[in-house]
Amino acid sequence: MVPYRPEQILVQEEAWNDAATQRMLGKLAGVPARTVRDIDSLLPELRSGKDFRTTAKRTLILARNSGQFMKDCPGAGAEICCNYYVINYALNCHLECTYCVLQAFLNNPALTIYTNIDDLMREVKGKAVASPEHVFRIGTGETADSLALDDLTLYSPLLVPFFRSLPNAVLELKTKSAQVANLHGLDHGGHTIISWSLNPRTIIRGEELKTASLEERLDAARRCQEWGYRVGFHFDPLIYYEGWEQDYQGVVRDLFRAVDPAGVCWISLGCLRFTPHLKDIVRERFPRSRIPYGEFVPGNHGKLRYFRPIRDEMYAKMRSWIGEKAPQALVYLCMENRAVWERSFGQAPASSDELSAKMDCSAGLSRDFLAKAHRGEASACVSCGNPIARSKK
Amino acid sequence: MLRAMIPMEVPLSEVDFEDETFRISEDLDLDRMVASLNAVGQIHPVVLLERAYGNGHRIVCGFRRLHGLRLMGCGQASANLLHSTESSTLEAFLKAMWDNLSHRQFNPLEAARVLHTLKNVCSVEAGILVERFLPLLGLSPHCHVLESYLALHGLYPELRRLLLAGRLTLSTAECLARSTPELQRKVAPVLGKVRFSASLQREVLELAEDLGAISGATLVEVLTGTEILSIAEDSNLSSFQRGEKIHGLLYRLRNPRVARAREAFLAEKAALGLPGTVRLSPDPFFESPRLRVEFDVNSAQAFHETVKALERAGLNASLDRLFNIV
Repeated sequence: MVPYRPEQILVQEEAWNDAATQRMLGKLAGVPARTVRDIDSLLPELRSGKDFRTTAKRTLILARNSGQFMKDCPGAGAEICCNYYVINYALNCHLECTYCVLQAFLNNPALTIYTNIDDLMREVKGKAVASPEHVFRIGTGETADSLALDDLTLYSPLLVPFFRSLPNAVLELKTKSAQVANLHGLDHGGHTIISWSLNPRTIIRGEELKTASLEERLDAARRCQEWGYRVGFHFDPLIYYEGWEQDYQGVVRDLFRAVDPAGVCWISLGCLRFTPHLKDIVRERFPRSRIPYGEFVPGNHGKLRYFRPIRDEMYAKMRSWIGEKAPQALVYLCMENRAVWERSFGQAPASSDELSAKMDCSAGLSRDFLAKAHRGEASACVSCGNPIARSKK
Repeated sequence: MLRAMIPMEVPLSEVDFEDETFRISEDLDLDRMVASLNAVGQIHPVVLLERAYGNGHRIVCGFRRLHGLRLMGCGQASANLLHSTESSTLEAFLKAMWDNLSHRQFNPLEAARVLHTLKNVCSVEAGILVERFLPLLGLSPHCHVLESYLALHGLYPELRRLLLAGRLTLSTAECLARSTPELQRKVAPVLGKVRFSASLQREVLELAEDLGAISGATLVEVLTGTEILSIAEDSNLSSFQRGEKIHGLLYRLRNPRVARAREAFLAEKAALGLPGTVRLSPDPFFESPRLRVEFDVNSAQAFHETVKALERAGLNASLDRLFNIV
């Protein structure tokens, strides 16, 4: 992974006194920093120039989030959804995946990191405590990579122990990096799952430009398992191209050579999807990308996605390859409809709640399990009996 | 400001008709002008800019009047003279612009010409063009609008005609204007023989761009391929039918699986032998096996006949296949 090093730092006036701000400025000593009062007033300048989506990321904004941190996952409207939550600690990512939806989604093209992480944790705790019967699976990977900036933010050493204190919540850190050093030695108590987005080497080289290599990702996953974390994997986006079968099957094979299938809590599959506007951006920013030229059709919310038989085929084969190596792994589809589940998996969850319950169970968060896990007694999920990788601490 | 001037008679031989620096009108439309001049003569004087050292006059306002007078064989025209030592190129062009704006709206090509001249001849900065001149021309004050119009100025002549005739949308014209001169030159004759709806124009260009990127062919090669040229020349089809056929061809090439599924659906549907009043349609893009069935009837008897036809279709093997097209 190419590390992030901004050319300038803009600090929102209110953010100066946050500990996270001071920490990050210390890490980036030598990078010029100045105070800004009104971030919105910077937008015309940040959005100027033909390649502003590239150049603006060289500006790091340290700001407080005055709104809510925690939201329903955008997939919540899908016919079958896993009822996931997202918390956004940052906006934007420097890893330059050609297909990244953030290019079309973010109004501010700079890289923003929120510094009021205490407010984030307070909000999560408030919601978790207010609904003790509800299980919260929460990820930080919607508007940023969960770990690519962790050497700068040092947020994982705060978030991981914090989630250990919440009996009904689990944190998922999704990444395309191999930046896991900060996770070593943390008291996670089984409440943090580290997951990787995976793709074949040819896609990583050609479309995920500044990310860690497949080998680096899998090695990081192996280390996390050694440290007692459960791990997850997301084959999302799955990209269709000539030779995809051999390449993806190879990734599945390499994956289960690197990690213990018993410690894998879930694997998601999701075919590439993007908006027509994003297609234009990809063509302009990454003219060598082959991403825009699949056989796409418009789907829900105007997003383009592969014609259904292509998705059916990819999902069915992926599931079969994963099943050969890890028959117990929970494999699920992200943002897909019932017909696709049934055609590619042979069956679909009866409802979103059923999928959600399975994932809670796989995350080790059934209520009985939680009660025991919190006392450090459980080594298997009492609901389904699946073994759960426990912290070595 | 134009000072009060006394018009004078200027010999047309001293007017530089080749210099179109200040011209704004896209179409000089001389027939109507000549008819007007014949009927009532030259009512308003033109504005000319005297060249330094007495090297003739540049036309600032009144291109149509002057061309009309010349066509009619007149030797001179009534003109207000500006002197180059008193009026800069920008000042003279602004006079031409305001003279036109005072009595008419510019079409997109004229707006493009104004912006091009202001930028490239009068050296007006882009920021000023965006903030001051785009609103003046009725356009949104954004950089990308300026870029689009500056590109539009270079549109190939035949494509300009198609744009003004309403055969090309502004966005299609802008898109073509950004392409190579070769593409514009080669595509223009095809577009002259074919008509696309506005949405189809956008789709056709996008399909062609995608096909070019997929196959490594240039846009010229895609849009002037043998099959497309043959459709464009097909005298058995109307220009709209040619457009739809070209779109269909490009769509099939770009989306072979979807196109095959649609064709298979139509074939199975036809095999059911249902009357034309019954409409069967698949889920959009066959996302699910769901089938939509609609029919219209205007009598009880028609209702019974339709139900019987549906019953017969229910026994047809094609019915099952309709639910398993892909």
